[in-house]
Amino acid sequence: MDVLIKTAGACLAASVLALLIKKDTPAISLAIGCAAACLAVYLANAQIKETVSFVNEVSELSGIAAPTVSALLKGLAAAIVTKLTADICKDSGMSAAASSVELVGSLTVFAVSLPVIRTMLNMIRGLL
Amino acid sequence: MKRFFIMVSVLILAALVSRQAAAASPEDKVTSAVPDSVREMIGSLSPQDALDTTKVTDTILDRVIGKLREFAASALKNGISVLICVIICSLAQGFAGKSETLQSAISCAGAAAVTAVSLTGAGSAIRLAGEAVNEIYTFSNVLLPVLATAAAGAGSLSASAAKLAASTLFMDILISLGNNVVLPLIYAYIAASAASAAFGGVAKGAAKLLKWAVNSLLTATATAFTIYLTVTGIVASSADAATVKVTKTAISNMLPLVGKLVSDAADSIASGFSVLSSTLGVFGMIVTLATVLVPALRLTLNALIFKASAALSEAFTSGPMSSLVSDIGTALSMALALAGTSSAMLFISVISAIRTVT
Repeated sequence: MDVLIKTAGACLAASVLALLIKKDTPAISLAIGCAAACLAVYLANAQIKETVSFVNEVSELSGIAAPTVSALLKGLAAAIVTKLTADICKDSGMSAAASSVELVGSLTVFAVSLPVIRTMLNMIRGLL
Repeated sequence: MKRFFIMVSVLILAALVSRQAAAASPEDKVTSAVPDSVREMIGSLSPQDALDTTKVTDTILDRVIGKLREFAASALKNGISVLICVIICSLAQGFAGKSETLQSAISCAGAAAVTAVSLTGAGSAIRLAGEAVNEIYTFSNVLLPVLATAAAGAGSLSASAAKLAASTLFMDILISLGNNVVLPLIYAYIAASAASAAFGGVAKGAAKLLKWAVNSLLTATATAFTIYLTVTGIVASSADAATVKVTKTAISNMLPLVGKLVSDAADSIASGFSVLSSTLGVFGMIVTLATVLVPALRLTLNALIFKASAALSEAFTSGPMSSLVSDIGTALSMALALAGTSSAMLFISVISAIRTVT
C-alpha cells in the first residue's frame, strides 16, 4: 500500500511540475513524465518480484510447464512496456511512434509465445 | 496288431475329445478375454462370483475410491494451470488497452497456452476413452458369441443369431466411427475452439458444427442399434417360440412312451444354458462397467473442473478465453459420451441376450 501512496504522490508531483513548465520547456516536461513512469515501475519492483515468485510457486504446485509460464510472463512484461512507451509517445504528440511501438510490442508478444504455440501444434499433431 | 491299432486310435480320439472339452469352457473363454487394465479393477472376481452383489460392489468400490483421489488431484492441477494462464493473459490484455494488434497477439498467446496446458491432462483422458472403447469391442467379440451359443442352447437359435449379428454389426460400426471419425472430430473441435479464441470469426462456427456432428453421430448409432436389435429380436423370438413348440409336440407324438421324458430333458438342458447365460451376462456387464469406469471417472472429473475453471475465468476475463476453457470441458464430455455409448450398447446386447433365454 505504501508503494502505491509513494507512486501516486511522485506521479502527481511530476504531473503538476510538467504542466507548469510545459509551456516554456516542453522537452523537459516530457522528460519529467518519462522519469515519473520509470520511478513508478522502479518502486513497484519488489511487488513485481513477489507476484512473479507467487506465480512460479503456484505453477510448480500445478505442474504447468515452466516455459509456458515464462512465455506468458514475458508477454505480460512486453504488454506493460508497450503500453507505457506508446502512452508517452502519444503525450508528446507522436502518434506514429506510438503506433510503431504498439506494432513492435505485438510482434514481441507473438515471438515470445511462439514456443507455446509450437508445443500446442505438436500436441494436436500427436493426438491426430 | 489289429487290437493295438484300435487301442491307439481310441486313445487319440479320447485325448482329442477331452482337450476340446477343456478348451471349450465358456467361463474360461470369457475370463481370459478380460483386459489387463480391468483385471486390476475387478481383482479375482470370476463368473461364479458375478451374482454375489456384495462382493462385486466391495471389490469395485475399493478400487474406485483409491483412484478417485489420484484423478481428483490431477484434474485440480489441470484446472489451476489453466487459471494461471487465463489470469496472466487477462492482466496482459488489461495493459494492452485499446491497441487491437497487441490484444490479438495476447489472445493468440493465451489461447495457445491454455490449449497446450489443457491437452496435457485432457488429451490423455480422451485417449483413455478411446482405449476403453477398443477394450469393450475386443471383449464383446468374445462375450457376445458365448452368450449367443448359450441362448441357442436354450432354444432361441434364430433370435440369438439375429441379435449377435446386430450387436456385432453395430459394435463394428461404433468402433470404426469412434476411432476414425469421433475421436479425430473431438480433437478437431479442440483445435477449432483454440483458433476461435485466438482469431474469432469462422472458427467459432466450425467448432459448433463439429460438436453437432459428434453428438448426432453418437445419438444416431445408439438409436439405430436399439431399434434394429428390438425389431430383429421380436421377429426372431416369435419364430423360435413356434419352432420349439412344434418340435416338442412332434417328439411327444412320435415317441409315445419316452417322448414326454425326452421333451422334459430338453427343457432341463435349456434351463441349464439359461443359468449359464445369466451368469456370464452379469459377469460381462461387470467387466464392461469396470472397463469404462476409470476413463469415465477421469473424464467426468476433468470436465467438471474445466467447467468450474471456465466459470472462474469469467471473473478475470470475459469472452474467448473462458469460452475456450469451457469448450475443452465440452470436448471431454464428448469423449465421455463415446465411451458411454459403447458400454451402453454392450449392456443392451448382454441384457437382450439374457432376456432371449429367460
